[in-house]
Amino acid sequence: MACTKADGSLTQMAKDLLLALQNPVPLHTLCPTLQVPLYRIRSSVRELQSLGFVKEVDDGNQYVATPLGLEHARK
Amino acid sequence: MDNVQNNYPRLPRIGELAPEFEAPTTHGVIRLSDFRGTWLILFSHPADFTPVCTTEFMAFAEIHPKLREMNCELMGLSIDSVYSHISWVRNIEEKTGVKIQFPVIADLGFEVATKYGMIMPGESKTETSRCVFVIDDKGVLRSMIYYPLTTGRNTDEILRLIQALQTHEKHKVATPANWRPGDKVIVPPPATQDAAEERMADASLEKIDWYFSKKSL
Repeated sequence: MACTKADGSLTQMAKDLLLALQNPVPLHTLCPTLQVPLYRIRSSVRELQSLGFVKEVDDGNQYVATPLGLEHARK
Repeated sequence: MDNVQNNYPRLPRIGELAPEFEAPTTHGVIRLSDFRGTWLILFSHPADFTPVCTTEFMAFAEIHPKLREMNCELMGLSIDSVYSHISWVRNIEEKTGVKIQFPVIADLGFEVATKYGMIMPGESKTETSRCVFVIDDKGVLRSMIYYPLTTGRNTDEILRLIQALQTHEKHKVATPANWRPGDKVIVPPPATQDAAEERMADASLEKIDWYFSKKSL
């Protein structure tokens, strides 16, 4: 999994992504902020969503970190 | 008829949506649809830790920054494990200083290779040939290149191909043989007699004949 390390903790990129999702935003707006290509953001958000750390809003047009996701991002 | 040939599905076709897939890569699990909104060069190589493939990876890495400026991403593929890929790209960086920053699909199950017709059984039943698929920002397959195991590809040509396709997209023109950015482009030929008459009267174009006109962008 690209967002988690072998010990189960989040990678730095995953943490940065979650913190960037404190408020609902379209994913493409994160590219210049995080300096990460869109395909990687989409792939990572899908993984974080499967962990319950991100949820989609506005019919999938925006995504936001869940309280659980933010809790893990701040560890 | 060789039964092996009957077991391989048809090649994908230019102008159709590229076959969707989800695959493990060196950047995590990626879907083709993750690239919507950007162009993608999906390319295969026969095997990690082989010399021709290594030169190709270095050449692709060299054009990667230019491709990104053109809203185009790269993704490689071979029938090797993700651990082999990671080890190989680290070896390339260690030995040559070239950092590979694009994802590489580990297609151990032959899933993507089968969907894209990357296996040429006359060459090898277990390795992909050197295939290149250009997929646009809407997921449509725009061009394909197939090279044999023996012959490394020309990444200048692949870059030129993207430039030509994007020029067509932007200006609705065709590009002549050996076209380079800055060269004149081909104006689509008229499809009616009236249009042909109008074309011949158009002084703004360089005309060889009514069906063959060029212009500068």
